[in-house]
Amino acid sequence: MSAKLKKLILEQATGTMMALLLLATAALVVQPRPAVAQGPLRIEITDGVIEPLPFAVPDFQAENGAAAEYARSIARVVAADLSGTGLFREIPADAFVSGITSFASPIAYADWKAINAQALITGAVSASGDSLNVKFRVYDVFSGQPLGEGLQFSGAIGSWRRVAHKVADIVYSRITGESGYFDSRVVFVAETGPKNAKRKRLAVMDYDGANVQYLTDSSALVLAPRFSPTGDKVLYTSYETGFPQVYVLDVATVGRQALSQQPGTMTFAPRFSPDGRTIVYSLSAGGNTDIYAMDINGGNPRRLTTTPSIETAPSYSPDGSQIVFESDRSGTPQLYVMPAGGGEATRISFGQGRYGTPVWSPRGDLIAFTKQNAGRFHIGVMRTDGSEERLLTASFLDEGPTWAPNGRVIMFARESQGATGAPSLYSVDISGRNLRRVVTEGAASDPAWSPLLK
Amino acid sequence: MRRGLYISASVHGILILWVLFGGAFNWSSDEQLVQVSDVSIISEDEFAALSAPKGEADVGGDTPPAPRPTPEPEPAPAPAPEPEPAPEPEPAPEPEPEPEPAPAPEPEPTPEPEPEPVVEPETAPPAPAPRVAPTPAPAPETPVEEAPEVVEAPEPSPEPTPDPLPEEVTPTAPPEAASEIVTEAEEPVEDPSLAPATSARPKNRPNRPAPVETAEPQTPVETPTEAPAPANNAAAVAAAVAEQVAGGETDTPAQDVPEGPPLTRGEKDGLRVAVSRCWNLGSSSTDAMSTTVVVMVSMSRDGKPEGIRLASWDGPSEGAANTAFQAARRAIIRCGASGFDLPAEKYGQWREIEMTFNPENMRIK
Repeated sequence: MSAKLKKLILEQATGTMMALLLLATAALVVQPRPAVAQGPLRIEITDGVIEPLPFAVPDFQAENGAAAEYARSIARVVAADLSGTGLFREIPADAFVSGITSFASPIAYADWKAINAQALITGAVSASGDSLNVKFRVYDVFSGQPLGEGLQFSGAIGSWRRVAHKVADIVYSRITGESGYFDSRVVFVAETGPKNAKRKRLAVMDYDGANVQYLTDSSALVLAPRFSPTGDKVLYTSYETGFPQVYVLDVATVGRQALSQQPGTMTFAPRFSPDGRTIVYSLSAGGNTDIYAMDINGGNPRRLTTTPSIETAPSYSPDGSQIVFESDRSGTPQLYVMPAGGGEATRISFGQGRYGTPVWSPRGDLIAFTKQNAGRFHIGVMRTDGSEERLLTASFLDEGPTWAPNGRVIMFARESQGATGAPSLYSVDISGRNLRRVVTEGAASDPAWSPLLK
Repeated sequence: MRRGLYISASVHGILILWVLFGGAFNWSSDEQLVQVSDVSIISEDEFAALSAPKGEADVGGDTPPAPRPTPEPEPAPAPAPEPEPAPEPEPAPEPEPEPEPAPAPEPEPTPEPEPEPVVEPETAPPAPAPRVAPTPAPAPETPVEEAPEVVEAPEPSPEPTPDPLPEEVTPTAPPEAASEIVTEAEEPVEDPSLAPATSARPKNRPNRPAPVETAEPQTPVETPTEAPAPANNAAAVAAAVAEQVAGGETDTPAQDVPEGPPLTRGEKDGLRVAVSRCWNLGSSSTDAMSTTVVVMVSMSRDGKPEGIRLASWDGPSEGAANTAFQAARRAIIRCGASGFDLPAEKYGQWREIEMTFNPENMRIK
């Protein structure tokens, strides 16, 4: 028995040994195979192209008779918004292979691929009484699937352009990955009359120049309007009393209020802090100009700079912790950054020429400025430490940059040369591409972009 | 005597003149002509030799077009399936979009309140403003009625918005953008129509699988020989071995794929350039422009992308990574629609491709 047992145990032992050996050899045989496969082919693509993305916006479907006139108009505004960015190119309707017969019908992707439409926007409009309802979808044609879910917006019929801008904002953000700026407004100084007797008044319009409304009459010189962070108030400087005086104007009611002012001083270049509770501005007293801040109600004024040179044009960083401003303490106007509560300032501009009117991007990564060098004016951007300075424009006179709410586009005023020269508004992408004029009724200057409306 | 002298002198003179002006010059000219004719004979041969290939080339040029049409029909079927089958499977997702409207109403409530309240007050101030500037209070009531008036004003405004386009000419910077727009419009449109240019590929495929099959049998042979040995041992061990073997065998069907030598640098560059051509960052956010994405692409034998997925990314945000991935995916699908120009005999080498899209060179600085 014991001998048999030993034999059995031995057999088992040799069996398992053999099995282990076998497993090992099997593993060895199988292992080399992955080595043969060598993993996937690897390539690195570092050079692409920068071209506008082709898109198609067939007229939206009118779901009832009352919506008919808006179905096409809304699609046109959406297309104009997207094309106006320079990032997109609309494919004209006469190139379409097939149309959209109904909002719910399936998309014939092949027909849109055939005309190289990379994005497709479809929509339907219904109107009842005083309200308008717009639903829409965005498709990534080449991957054959919708970009996000369908959405719809409702609003008063009278605000159909705003609804269209909101649709365009969503489309823009789904394709580019950053927020849009179409549902926003711009406050500016509208100018009439000859160069030596200009009449100026504050005006506000949609970002694309539509729906212009005047906020003041032309009885007094006005300049440098700036939106509050919520877009419902405007700060501006008026010469109504013969001296510059800062006012806060409520856009909805057109009511206004003068900020308190010490006698014998002049205040100008005001701007809101990002939280809307503080105003930073320049104050000139006794021949010296410095930067001050005060609460929105006019209380608690405090001096932030104390040099004998001229400090002006302050602008907060979006987190409210720093202020960029212009100073000639080095002999020529240059840009400096200091803590929001005042303190030691760091010079950030070191190029040739004079720098002025710095504005911090709402994204916080760049500072836009006006630069004068060799007899020409430029709008430029630089990083907040002054590096990577890039000039985006050049002309006889470019000045006063203001950022779009998404920090991608800059609007500014350009004045043409000569006795008949007049300022007008232009916008440019921060890449320097897509410079285009913003159409206004007459001459316009000093633009300030609002935040996105809510 | 003198007569004889005169006669002989005149006859000799005539003879001398004839020799000088008639005979001597005639002989020399004849010889020269002969020499010239020799040269001309040689040159004719040369010309004949030279002209002969030309004639052949012409003939050949005529014949090839005949074979060419035959390859063309091949691509012809290719484009046909591309557009048609693609949309047909997609109709399946159609039902999905339809249910979407249902979820859409959910967002309704949120957007509705937002635009409506905001819009009315905003349109309100404008109305009173244009007429009497600093009048404050009365605004809120009137706006509702005057809202429709605003509608009329906006209508002309869509026209002015297109206007900026012509005026774009004046600026200094835009010319660059304009030139890019032109080139882009032309290239992509041509690509699909030129698809037949890659028609050579299908021919190669049938030939190559053959050599590969011979190589494959070797590996399966090895594993079976090992399998019988463990027969005496425990069943569990046999099962374990079987699993190992089975694991190997699952690879073997894939090895029907011709492995071939690694792709040459030229072949890799060709693929890189092909994808680069369609990699459009023009509509990417600045965040997406600073995001590197690694995309895994599984390829079909005809060089078309079958599956595209995001393997990894390096950038400021997930949203930016998603946008960057979309741009990369569009590039692969658009330029791969008619198949990338890859050697079919090396299919095993490029069946899976890891593409890294690094926009560092493209970034706005």
